[in-house]
Amino acid sequence: MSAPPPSSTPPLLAARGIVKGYRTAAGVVSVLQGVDLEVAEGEMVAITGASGVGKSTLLHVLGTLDRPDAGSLWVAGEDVLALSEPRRCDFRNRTLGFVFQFHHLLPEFSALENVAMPLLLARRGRDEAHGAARVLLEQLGLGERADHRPGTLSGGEQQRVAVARALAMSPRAVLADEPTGNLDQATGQKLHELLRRLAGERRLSVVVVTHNEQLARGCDRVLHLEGGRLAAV
Amino acid sequence: MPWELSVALRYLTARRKQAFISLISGVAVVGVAVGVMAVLIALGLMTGLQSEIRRKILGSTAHISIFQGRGDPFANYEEVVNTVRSLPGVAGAAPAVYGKALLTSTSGSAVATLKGIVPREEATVTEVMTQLREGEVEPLEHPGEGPTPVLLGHVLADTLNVGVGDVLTVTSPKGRLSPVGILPRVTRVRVAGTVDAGLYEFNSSWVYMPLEAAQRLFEQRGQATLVEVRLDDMFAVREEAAAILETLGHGYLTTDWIQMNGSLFSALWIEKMAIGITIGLIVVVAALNIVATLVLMVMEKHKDIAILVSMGASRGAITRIFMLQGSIIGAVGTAVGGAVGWGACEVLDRYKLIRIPEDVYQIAAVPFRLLPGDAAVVIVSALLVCFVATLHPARVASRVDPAEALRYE
Ligand SMILES: Nc1ncnc2c1ncn2[C@@H]1O[C@H](COP(=O)(O)OP(=O)(O)O)[C@@H](O)[C@H]1O
Ligand SMILES: [Mg+2]
Repeated sequence: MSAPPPSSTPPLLAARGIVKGYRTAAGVVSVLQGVDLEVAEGEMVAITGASGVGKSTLLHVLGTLDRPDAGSLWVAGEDVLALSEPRRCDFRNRTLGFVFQFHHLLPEFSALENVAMPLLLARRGRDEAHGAARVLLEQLGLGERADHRPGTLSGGEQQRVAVARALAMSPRAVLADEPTGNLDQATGQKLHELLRRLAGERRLSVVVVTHNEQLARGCDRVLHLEGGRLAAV
Repeated sequence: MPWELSVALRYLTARRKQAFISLISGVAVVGVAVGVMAVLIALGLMTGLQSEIRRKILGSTAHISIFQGRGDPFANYEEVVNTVRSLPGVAGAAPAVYGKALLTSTSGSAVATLKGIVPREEATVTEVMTQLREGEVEPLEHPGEGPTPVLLGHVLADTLNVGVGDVLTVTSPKGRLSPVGILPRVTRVRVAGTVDAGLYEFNSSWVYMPLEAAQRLFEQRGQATLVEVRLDDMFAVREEAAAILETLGHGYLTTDWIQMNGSLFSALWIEKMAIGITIGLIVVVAALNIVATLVLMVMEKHKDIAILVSMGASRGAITRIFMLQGSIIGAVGTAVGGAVGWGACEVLDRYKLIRIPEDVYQIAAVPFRLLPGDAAVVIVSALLVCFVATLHPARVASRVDPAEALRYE
């Protein structure tokens, strides 16, 4: 059971009874067995758990990249599981931002182009998209690196570009899957502080999966995934 | 520019780790270009040859021939000639007497088609009078005394081993009845000139003689076998034939060059189609390269696809990215191939670069003529084939499971 949100406003993200399994040759692997989660606006929640327990699976379900076998999911007042594919994509574009462990930038595009991409997907004009992307990169201290390809950036820089991209459409929630997993301790710490600050400044709900106990403790709440369910730590 | 297009272009133009993909997409572009170029050149050649053959045939034959109903010769041919000549769209009309006869010289003999003509009128219907190789037409207009002056196809003249001024014997099977049976009619003719009509059939077996002489030879005094007509527009035969029949009234029939050479031209058309389709297979093979390029690209870009989906790209958008890539390959190849093919046809034709033995083919250089309609069909088909090649890889791309693709590094 998750702890109640700190305020009385309806949660930005509410997942109930999420069940998800995979059919494999060896039978059905049931990964999530009734996950309940509520995240308030501006709240930063950490999810910890052993490797292979289903943290990424949960994040993908919350991010509408994967469909649960059962359960309900409301994000920003929208019953996202009921949306048609095009509307769900549109919703994801406007409402959600992702940061993945292996930065996952588009290698053929510059940092600026990567950050501008969600805006272009929303059919914004090129100049507007690039202008907004440049402002974001400068805010994150990457103004100098805007025209570099991801391959020429350090791990920490790549991850900050990924954060900038996640923020490009001014989403309501950011889902981060082990964003510091590939970074050294100090850089990881800085990235967490960045997310922390953004959550506060932009009233962003942040769900961050992490192995790092110390970083997890810096969040509003820490939840532990085990046996297919979430439990407060 | 929609973002799908800029992603497609970037994927195509970026330097990639896997040089192999760049290589086969290059091969695909070149393949499409070569295929389109080859089809255009082949069609240009076939059209060029076809119009050359048509030009040659029409140099020696009329556009429309008018017969009298039951195959009887005309007695009133002069009236018919004058009536037809005054019709709009008719460039000329002339009477002709046709028959077969045996030609004998001191060194050989040959069966020939004899055509009796009035030279001045014949000149308004065929080009034979201007195709003289040796000698002159003049004597046919004023035969005078002695052996009848005739024009011979130059190959026939060689076969009989005769030249201008030599005398031949002509034996017509339409003989006189005599107490000992039918006696063939025999007359003597003198070679006034030789003709090069540009086609072997005419050069090897046609003889032109004054109309009256032919009428005598074939027992058709005061009559013509048919009246031949030349039109301003050679393709207007159907309408003009109808107009002629209507003007002349009952009892006449017509045939035209299209009917008479129908099987030849349909054979040439089928040949053109067969060659076009066969060479067009190059484009199909090139399109398979597009399939391979895109399939490899989709495999390499699994993670990019997942990232784009996580940003909100729909399945349709992912499909479009890969369709665009394949279509760009096809469009560039088609544009290059189209330009080079068209240019090659122009240059080959203008500068007569492909020379062939004139005595065998009767033309000095292979003619090329690219019809805009043919080019349009080739270009549209090539683009269509390339587009179809993108469908399967694009669908595979749209089915990439983002959760799966994001899970592993
Ligand atoms: N497509 C799949 N087919 C079968 N099993 C899968 C599939 N995806 C994930 N799993 C399994 O689900 C479990 C949870 O995976 P994951 O969510 O990636 O764990 P975590 O992110 O916590 O390490 C793992 O045991 C993994 O092997
Ligand atoms: Mg994981």
